[in-house]
Amino acid sequence: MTLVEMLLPLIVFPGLVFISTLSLFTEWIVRKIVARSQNRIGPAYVGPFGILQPFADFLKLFMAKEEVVQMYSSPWLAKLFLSLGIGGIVASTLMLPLSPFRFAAPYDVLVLSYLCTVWPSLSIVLASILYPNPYTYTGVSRLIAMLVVVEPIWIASILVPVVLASHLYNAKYSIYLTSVYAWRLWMESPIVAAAMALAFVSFIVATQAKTMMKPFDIPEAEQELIAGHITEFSGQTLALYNILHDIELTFSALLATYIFLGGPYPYRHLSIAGILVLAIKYLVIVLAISLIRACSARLRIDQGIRAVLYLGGVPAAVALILTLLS
Amino acid sequence: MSMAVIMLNNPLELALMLSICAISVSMIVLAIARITCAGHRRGGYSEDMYLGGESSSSLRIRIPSVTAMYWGLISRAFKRTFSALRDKVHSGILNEWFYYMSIWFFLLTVIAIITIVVCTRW
Repeated sequence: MTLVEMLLPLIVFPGLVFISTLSLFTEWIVRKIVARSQNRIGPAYVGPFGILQPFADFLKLFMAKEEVVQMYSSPWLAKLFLSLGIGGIVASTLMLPLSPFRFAAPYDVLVLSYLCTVWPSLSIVLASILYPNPYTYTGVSRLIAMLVVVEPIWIASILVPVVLASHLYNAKYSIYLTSVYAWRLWMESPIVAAAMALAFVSFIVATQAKTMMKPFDIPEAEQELIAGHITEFSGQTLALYNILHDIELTFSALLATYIFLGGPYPYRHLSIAGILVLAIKYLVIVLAISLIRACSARLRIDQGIRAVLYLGGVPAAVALILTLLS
Repeated sequence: MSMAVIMLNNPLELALMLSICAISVSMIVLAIARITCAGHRRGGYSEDMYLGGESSSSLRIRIPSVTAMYWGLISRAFKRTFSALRDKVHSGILNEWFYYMSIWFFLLTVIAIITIVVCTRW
């Protein structure tokens, strides 16, 4: 494999350029669905149906807006950490079947967990505390309290299809091989289907909390903590934080599309029908997340932690037990 | 356009390779940020921290550390568990401590036996 063949998927498709574009498009869908659910218009002026509004917002923040540099802050170190978070998720896209060159290894679910939970979470925490402020510190303490509960649940829900596919079809605990067999798991037996359904519910709840969307936008908590851990972010730092948040949501939705819903099944990747099925499954997951966000109000931190534990942790634990029994 | 699967035998090798990829992407993002910020208007280098309209004298009030706030939140979220731990384990009565620890060790033993039985069956 040449360097160009390695760099092309990493930078262009499905790497940095593609995942950034898809994440901004996803942000437009989320904003539009949430707005329509609340009897508002949503983005409407930039591009057809306002589709280019998130792109305009990002470019404005990244290239034009003034960056307020606080006297105790380290803006470039914060940008470095946020870039590392983006890099961690972008590198993970190479493990999805979407990539022309899919990387796989036995037990690579551990590598995915490491890149998608440790890198982005730590990068956000470290970037936030580089802007000292009482509101930031309060937001960071809430963020850590949420992440400590959410990340294990997110990983546990991913483990269910991976373990099932490995025991039933010898998928070697690999994300790529699991996504190949995911659609068969739903038809294997009622116990396996129940485990998959519970794990899927758990994954949606964990993703909602991981991406800090309502009712789990507790670390940001506008009107209560100004903007929590991102109070002091502005200009490029805020643009990088926003795109990291969108990329995290997009990758989670893509991952669920593949390892829970079977990707383009019953068609192939390189067919129009396959791409359409893939897009529809992806949009259904984004729709579910957007509707939960639109229909709920922010929880208190202790309520939020308990809600994640009961709505995400309990289904994930039951799904793992069913997985062991099946 | 062809699609290929690159199967590595060692997950550590994959972790190392993808970590290098992640660092490369982050360096590219940082370079783009550096290039595009050249023409930026920038704020002063001595901006005070944003305190929501409060004066900086409010910073004299001591606030709890991030760690203290984190433990405060966790103990509030899991109040029943913490209360049970405080009332049973740290009650100062040896019998209660012995009773509590015996139940837990019994539960852990049962879980260990179930795990061994399930794994052996596979």
